[in-house]
Amino acid sequence: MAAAGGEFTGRRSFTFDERVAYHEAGHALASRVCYLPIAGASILFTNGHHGAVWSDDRSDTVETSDIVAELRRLMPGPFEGRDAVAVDLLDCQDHIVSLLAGRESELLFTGQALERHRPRSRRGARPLPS
Amino acid sequence: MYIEFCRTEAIALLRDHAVAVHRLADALIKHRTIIGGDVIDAIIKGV
Repeated sequence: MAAAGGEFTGRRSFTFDERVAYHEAGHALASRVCYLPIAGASILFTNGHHGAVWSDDRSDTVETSDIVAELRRLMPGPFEGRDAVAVDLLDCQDHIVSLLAGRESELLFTGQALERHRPRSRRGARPLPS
Repeated sequence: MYIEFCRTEAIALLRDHAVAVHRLADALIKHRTIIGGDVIDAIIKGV
């Protein structure tokens, strides 16, 4: 449904809209259950995405690379306790759960998941920052 | 392994709140865009 550059080229069917709605509903529900702030949700095609859930707090915009960087900072050294970073670790986990809930919601409630715009593969993956 | 743990938590959470997910999805199909965290919270709670 989307061209390689992320431009939407076709007309969306009701079934497709429904799948996007369940995807965004999954993100929104998981975010709120985890007490993450959200300011809105949409199934309109914008900026190369078929839908979105967003927060007013710009610092709360989460990319996978942000989570990787944060987790790296939080990993304890040998014989170091996790007490000091427990809250931050839980916050990271909440964001990961919220990110995963979109696709899982589609699978649970529609039996199918949207195809990714850009197929991801291990071959094309970037190395973790050192 | 860690991501699978989070995925399992996400699935359990969605199953536990399936009614709220249906409500949110229905509202999104109807209105296309929902503005306001308080509006979304009200839909989740069934208000």
